[in-house]
Amino acid sequence: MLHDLQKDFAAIALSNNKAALLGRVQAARGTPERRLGVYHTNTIVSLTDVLKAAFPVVARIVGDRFFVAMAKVFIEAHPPTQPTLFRYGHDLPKFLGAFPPAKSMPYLADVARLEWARIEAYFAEDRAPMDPTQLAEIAPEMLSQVSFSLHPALRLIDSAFPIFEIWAVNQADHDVIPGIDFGHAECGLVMRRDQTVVQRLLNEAAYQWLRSITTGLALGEATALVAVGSTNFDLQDTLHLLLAEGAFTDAHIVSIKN
Amino acid sequence: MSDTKVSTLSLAAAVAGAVSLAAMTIPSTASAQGKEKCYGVSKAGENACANAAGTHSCAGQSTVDFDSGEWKLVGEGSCVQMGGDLAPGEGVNEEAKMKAG
Repeated sequence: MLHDLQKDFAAIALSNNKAALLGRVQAARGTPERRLGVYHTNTIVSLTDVLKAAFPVVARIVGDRFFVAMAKVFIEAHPPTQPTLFRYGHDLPKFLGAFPPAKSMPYLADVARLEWARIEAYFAEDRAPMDPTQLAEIAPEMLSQVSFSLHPALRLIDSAFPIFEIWAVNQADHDVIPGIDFGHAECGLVMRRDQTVVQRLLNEAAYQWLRSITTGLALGEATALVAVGSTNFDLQDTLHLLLAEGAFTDAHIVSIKN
Repeated sequence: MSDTKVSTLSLAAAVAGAVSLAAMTIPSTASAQGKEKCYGVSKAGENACANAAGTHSCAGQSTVDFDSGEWKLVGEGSCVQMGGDLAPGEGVNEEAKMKAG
């Protein structure tokens, strides 16, 4: 049966389990064991390259040999589940967080999350951002009930570590990598404008406000919530940034809950 | 919540300000902490690795063969330069060996 043959072959490609097919392959230039092994090796090498392209900063941080060795463990534990390679790697951040050899780099999983958010933003659906002047047409007394629709490419990300800074200093054009104070948290957003993925650091208050908005809270509620605990929240500035980045696709009035 | 309600006036002022700014400028950076902007360009084809990755020669590549000694190389990359090797793990190699089988 073709299906069985394919399953047996997949077992070799993904987990190097050759038992089922070993007897059906002839020795030629190399033993059957070695000839079948080529498929496993090439699968791992190919998928390692996919991961390296998706997580270039992680690769730069750990170095090539660590990355290659780590990728093999990851690929064998999390083989692709879809036939689209650009979606492969979704599970890597979580994997890194629980990967013992990466324990000395507790920020690594969050850096990987940021890189994955960039991939998601890059491949997210196209949608025109809202025209900011749409807000100007809403009656002032209705503004507190305005709720926003989010652009499909918008991602929010926060970490106990300075992941945006780590990302920035590990870009290819940084030859000299400065020391980093790992003691501060960072949060921000990832977006795509045309073909370019953009990331912006936000201060804690602006980030919490945006997080409220993404959960569906209306403008008045979200603003009141963040104004309680924070003195450095600037609504005009935050809104300006988000409108200019195209984070919203629409604004609409939600009815008041009594 | 009533005492924390945001006044219609302040909301309207902030929105009006944001709208007029958004209409004419690129975003300011006050809410974006005083850091350099982290713009990055996704290289064309960055994720189109299927082709490149699929064309390896069939000569069994040795790059995936590693001995667990290589796990000592945590920080071979930029990790150490950043000062990031926060707490060199103990028994890392043993665990890696187990994991990697």
